[in-house]
Amino acid sequence: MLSKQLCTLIAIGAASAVGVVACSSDGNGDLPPTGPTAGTFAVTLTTPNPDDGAIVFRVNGPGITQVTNAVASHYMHFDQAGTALTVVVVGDLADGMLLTFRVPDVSSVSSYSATVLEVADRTNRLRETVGSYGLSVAPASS
Amino acid sequence: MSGRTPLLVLLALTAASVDAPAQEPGPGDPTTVFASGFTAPCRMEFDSEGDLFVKDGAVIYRVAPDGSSTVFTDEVPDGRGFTFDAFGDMIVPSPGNSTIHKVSPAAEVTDFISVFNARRVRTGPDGSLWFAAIDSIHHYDAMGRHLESVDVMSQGGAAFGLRFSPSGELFFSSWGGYWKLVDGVVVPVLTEVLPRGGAPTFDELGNIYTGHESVTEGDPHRVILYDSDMSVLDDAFVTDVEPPCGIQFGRETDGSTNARLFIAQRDGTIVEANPAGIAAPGFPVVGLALNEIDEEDCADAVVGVPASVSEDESTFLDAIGNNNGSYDAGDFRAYLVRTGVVDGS
Repeated sequence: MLSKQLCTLIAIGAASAVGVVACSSDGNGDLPPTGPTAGTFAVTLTTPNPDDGAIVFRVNGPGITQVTNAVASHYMHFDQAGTALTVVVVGDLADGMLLTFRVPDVSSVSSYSATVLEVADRTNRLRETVGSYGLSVAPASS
Repeated sequence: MSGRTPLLVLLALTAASVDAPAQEPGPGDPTTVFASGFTAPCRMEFDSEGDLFVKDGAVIYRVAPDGSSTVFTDEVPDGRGFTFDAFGDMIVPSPGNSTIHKVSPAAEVTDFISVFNARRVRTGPDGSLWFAAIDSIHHYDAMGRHLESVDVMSQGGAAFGLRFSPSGELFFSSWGGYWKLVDGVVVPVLTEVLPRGGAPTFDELGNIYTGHESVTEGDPHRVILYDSDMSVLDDAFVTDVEPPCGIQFGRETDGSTNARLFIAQRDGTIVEANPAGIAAPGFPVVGLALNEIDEEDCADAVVGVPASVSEDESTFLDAIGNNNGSYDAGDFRAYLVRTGVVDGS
């Protein structure tokens, strides 16, 4: 049986190890597993246009790691500063998943949001408004 | 010859007939012959792979690093002083039909834009194109959209040659003077002493090398070296020359400019100055090249990383993109398509 402090350290240091460490409240008794469960979120695009060629968007949320391009034919690049992840994706964009990323706690999906900053069409023209675009952040289905 | 003014033809013919007196060797002496067999190889430029291109009569030749030459194209009518643009294409003005031709690396010739009476073109620091048209200088962006025109003749100048200095100033020249174009205003830099040569060339330190053709007894053919303020550093920097009509720094196979100074002569040869006398590598004649703009820098800039691309690069990227005045996602997409990273079809 692990002490409370040791249990906490293991939980922080091995956030991706899901629910395998049994901890007690006082270091003596047996209790169900507690603490965050790491997992993968996906950012999904909903577009009103059939000819999008590039998008810049920002994802806000804690502990984002392992940002991965969801569509092999897309070009993706991002910059991460604190809890803000700014991403550009270039390609023949359509409704669907743009990227995935790992989070330390899949139960905190409400802490994550995504905002469209710019969209260009496939002739490189910038969309004048992006209000009708939608980006959702949700646990990725496996 | 058809595009030159009668006065210039007369001066040029006179220059060729003057016997130059012997001079003491300068720092750039002795010269060595690099290539020969031309008629008047006065207009020459190096491409980004280190090959020299020479316009001689109706033909543009490619001259390999060993000095051997092959015909690159003979399909540009009345071609004049050419250069390479940011995409690596050759840009050739043809005043006879007021057309600017674009010649691909594979020597495919297409009409690009129409510019009246253009004699010389240079690529600016932001990839835009500047054309010397004797009485005017015309400015176009990298995609061929007109930006501005300046009447230089009404301000006392005449634009045959063009060259950017390391500080980004546009010098222009005629047989009788050098000037700078500063915010649309013509500023004389050398008019009291007639340069009698084509456009000057610069090294990275800002030193200015000019070919000087003699038209009078006692005034020998030579290359004169000036500092960046146009004060004479060496009036006889190179003396071992026939009438010089073009001057150009070389480039390596990776496109970097080197410290080899080539001088075109009216006797049909191109000679190289003694490299031991050259203070610094030349300043690049192509101010910006697409393939030298870093992809990651462009990507960083579009996601907001500060100072990822320069102002000149940003201007160029916007010009090849949506041309809306700022760098954005559409411009980045255009860059990726142009560089082949993303399929734009």
